[in-house]
Amino acid sequence: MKIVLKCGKLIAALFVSVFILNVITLAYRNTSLHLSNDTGATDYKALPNFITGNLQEGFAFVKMDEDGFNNQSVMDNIDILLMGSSHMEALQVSQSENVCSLLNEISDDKVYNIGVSGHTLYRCVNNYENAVNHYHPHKYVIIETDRINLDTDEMRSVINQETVTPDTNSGIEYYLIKYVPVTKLIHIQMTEWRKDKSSIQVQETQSVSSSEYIQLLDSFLGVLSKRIDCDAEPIIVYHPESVIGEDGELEYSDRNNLEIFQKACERKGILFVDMSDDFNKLYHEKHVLAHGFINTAVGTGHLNKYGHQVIAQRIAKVIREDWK
Amino acid sequence: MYFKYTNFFVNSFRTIISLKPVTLKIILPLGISFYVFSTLAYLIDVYRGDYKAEKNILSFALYVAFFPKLTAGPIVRGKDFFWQVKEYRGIQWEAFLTGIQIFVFGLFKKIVLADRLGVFVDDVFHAPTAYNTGTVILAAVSYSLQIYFDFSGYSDMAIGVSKILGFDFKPNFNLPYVAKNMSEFWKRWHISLSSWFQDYLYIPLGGGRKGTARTYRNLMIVMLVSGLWHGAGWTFIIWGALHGIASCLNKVVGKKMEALGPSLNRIVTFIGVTLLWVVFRADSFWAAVKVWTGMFTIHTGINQPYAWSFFAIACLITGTIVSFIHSKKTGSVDKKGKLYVNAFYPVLDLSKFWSLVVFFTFCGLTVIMGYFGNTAFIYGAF
Amino acid sequence: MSLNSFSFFLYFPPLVAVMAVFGLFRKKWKTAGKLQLFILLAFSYFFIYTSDWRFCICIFVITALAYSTGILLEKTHNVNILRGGV
Repeated sequence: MKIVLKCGKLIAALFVSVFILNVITLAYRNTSLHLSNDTGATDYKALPNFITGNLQEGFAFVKMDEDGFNNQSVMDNIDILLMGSSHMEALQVSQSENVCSLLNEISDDKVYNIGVSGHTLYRCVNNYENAVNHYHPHKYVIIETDRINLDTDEMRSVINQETVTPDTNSGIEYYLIKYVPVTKLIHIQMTEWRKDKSSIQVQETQSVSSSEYIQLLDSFLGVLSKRIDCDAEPIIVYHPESVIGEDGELEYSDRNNLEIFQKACERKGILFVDMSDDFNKLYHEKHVLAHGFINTAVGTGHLNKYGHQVIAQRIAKVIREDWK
Repeated sequence: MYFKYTNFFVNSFRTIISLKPVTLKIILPLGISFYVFSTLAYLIDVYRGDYKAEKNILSFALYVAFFPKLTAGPIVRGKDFFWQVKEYRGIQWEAFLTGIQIFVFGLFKKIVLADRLGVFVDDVFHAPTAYNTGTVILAAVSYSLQIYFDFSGYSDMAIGVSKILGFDFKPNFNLPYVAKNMSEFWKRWHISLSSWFQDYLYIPLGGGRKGTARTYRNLMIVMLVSGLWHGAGWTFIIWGALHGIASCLNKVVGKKMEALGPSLNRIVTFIGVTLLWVVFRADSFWAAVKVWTGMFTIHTGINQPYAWSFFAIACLITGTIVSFIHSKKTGSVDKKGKLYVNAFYPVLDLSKFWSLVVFFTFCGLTVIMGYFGNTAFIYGAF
Repeated sequence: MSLNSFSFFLYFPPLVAVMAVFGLFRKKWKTAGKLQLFILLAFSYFFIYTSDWRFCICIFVITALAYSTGILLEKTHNVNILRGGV
């Protein structure tokens, strides 16, 4: 009997502490379930009207729209469609400070954001046709990326349409994450903890020749080429992560093949916007970096409000000049 | 000596004779500084006749290799260990519950506080000229907190694990940042090491009983050796030397400083210790000079009011206030009859429901707020 | 392996469980206590081994040296006492 009582006390205490931790998680780091997106425009979408909380990286509470994307409201007759990964999803900054809201303010165009985390350039290119078919943007499709040194195997998968759509949450996992959000956070933390930090991750060098890589890149970007049945032009916005060198100057990683990528975009009629100069100006004039927050490492991680601001201003300028 | 100092001495000599430094491939065995000091303490005690040599090879092997204290201490003396082996009773339930709480407490300090602070400190110390004055000062203070939480957190984890397994070790830290002077700081920081130096170096050299000049000499020798113990590098030697000078200054002006009152003395001591930690952390003396320059000149740069620094400061202040209250309740006083603040482990009675709730919640918070990037124990490198 | 590594959290609970089981036999089985200490020593060497197997050799050598030196020192100390020396 005593043991039963003790076990009961233990389990009850566990339940109460899980409840408390859930409440803390709602504010600290609360992201939505991943639901499948039948349109195919993105791999998945969030729960409609879901409120995210983020005090772990940045400080922001964001309410998703009725379609499960980070917008003030669902739109029709879209002029500009924004695609991208967690940078474009922008759960680290308040809704009014992200690229989409700022562009809606600066320009007269209707801008809609379908950025979701994990939606790298490969996924965006893979889902581009579906996105354009569903949203019919009149003017531009803007794809954000922080990488232009691309993996040949990944590009081949997209070209050959062999990619596998990532799994969405289902079954027990679905209900666990929905009603006990702390389990997702603990799962993320445990995954990080288990990683072998002793092995240094070296970026794989391309095992193909330069000309082969260029060919692959042309085919890959060719998927985005302007179509006769669609008015929208693709724009790729590249926002490289930076580090501060010992001399206090900004240094960018992932600069290999930048020229190759730029020329490939030119050949395919894709506007390429490199944010490096804008970031340099931001740093030298205002001593601010485009990535990182006051609760993370400087210059790394997701775009902060300054990064979103600078990108929105640059895109608005590019669109104005191009539209003329 | 070979494993730890060969590279340092070889390269220092090569620099003097204008040759380029080389890196000899000599691995540094895990925790060597700690178990070498443990065995030295044992041998010196046996030589002095303080106790008999341990004949049981199993006991002795366990004394040297016992894993909780291996990586980064505490430096346990033979007299504190062998009797526990002789009277070993295995795992006891009450000790298990206490030990697990101490372990989680230490884990929180390490992975939530120390490792989070490390991210910010690394950024600023890497390029101090890029940051504004306030940020550089905050980084220096953050390093003081980082090294304290890292090392005391690890010590708590070691003490907790040992407690679970049925061994009791003395605490290794006693709120060092409430010290009113350098002498008190060293009685509260890395207690097992500072008591080792006191018993096996300072007192045998004569301590403070052979006149003022010899006292200063002894203090300088002890602090220089302490610096060298921490690492094979000129920054550690300079750090040791500066602490030696500070300790000597304390002897000269200590009594006059007491007139300022305990609060002001604590602030001055904390500032002094923080400034000295800068050279301990920096990659070179000139890198430390850059940080000091950044702290003492007004200049623009990146403003990074790192949130975790303020969280860590709040945790430290809360812990200190709680310790103050606890020390007052228990009537803890120094030789002069004044309040002496002692740290304590906030161990809960886990037979109670709400204590269980608090403990489980604390464990959960440690996991969800922990930083799992690439971090090692700072003192593990020594 | 270190005290905050994931692998420690995998290996430590089984160690505690084994130690606890042996603890139950302490009264009936006299060598259970010694076995517990031996298990602790074995785990300690395993702990060191996970960093680098060469560290085990290093610590073994230091253990052997210090053990024999301690006994020698004590013998010398005893001889000196018998002789009426320091």
